[in-house]
Amino acid sequence: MAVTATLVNARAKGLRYLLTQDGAAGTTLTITTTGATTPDVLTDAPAGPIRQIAKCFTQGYGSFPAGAKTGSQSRALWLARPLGTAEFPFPLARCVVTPRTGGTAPGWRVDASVDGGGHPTIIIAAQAGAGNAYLDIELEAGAIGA
Amino acid sequence: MAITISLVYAQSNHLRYFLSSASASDVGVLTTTGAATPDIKTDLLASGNQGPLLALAKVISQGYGTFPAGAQTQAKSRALWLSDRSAANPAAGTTGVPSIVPTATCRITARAGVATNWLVDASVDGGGNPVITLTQLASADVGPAEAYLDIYVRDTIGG
Repeated sequence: MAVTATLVNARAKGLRYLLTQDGAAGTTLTITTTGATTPDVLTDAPAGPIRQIAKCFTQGYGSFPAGAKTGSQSRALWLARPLGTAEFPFPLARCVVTPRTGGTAPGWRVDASVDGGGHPTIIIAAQAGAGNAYLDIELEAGAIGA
Repeated sequence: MAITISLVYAQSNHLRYFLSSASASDVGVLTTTGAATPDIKTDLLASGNQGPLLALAKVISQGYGTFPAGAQTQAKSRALWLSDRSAANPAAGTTGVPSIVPTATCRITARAGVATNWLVDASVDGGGNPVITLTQLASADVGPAEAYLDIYVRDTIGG
């Protein structure tokens, strides 16, 4: 596989993955939230706010009811992009990529979507060429300790 | 030519440096030994800041959490300054198990420059002192590239 994610730090308020792009063709990776094999946010997160967000499909979160989500709802939950003021009072997660090694072309990108069953997913698009970066999935600023 | 590193903000849990590079490919090193600024220990003490970042910077002389005093390795430096608790670092943040000891994170936000790739890593010098290494890579010599480097400790008020 061209892009892999390895969990390197797990806290209640955030996860850090080491992303590795080996330079081969195919430069996207999907991180799931279903309890699947790591990298999966529900599997990897200890008890706390990030795990609560990952459980949105089964038990809801804030103004989001349980059940299948849309792409917009997934972006609200994982990219701290509220759909409206209803989401403002409670913490949302954000994803940040910090490159560690690589070439002259920047290009790590992160987005959120859903799978066929409506489970939120985090999509990583890697830079062209071999390199490493850290992906932080963390509570947005504003929560004490975030 | 080296990246110019200038302290612009200092709190006990958060340092911000301004990075400037005028070449197509540049490197910079931020030390933790108490050397002349930019040095994490020097910059915290000069601004009167005690706290988790200073404790991290003193790891070689007094240890920090599960990290004993003495010369560190690159893996330990990455654990301390990049919160990369891979299995060798020691005591991994394994799947589902929280990493208890607060560690720092380094993050770069580009401010100016064209098609520039900023990289941040952690290593050690010849004496085992942790250092933060910075690299600026651009596809051509297109003029000054500027960015901010934030170093902060997670899970702390003010961090």
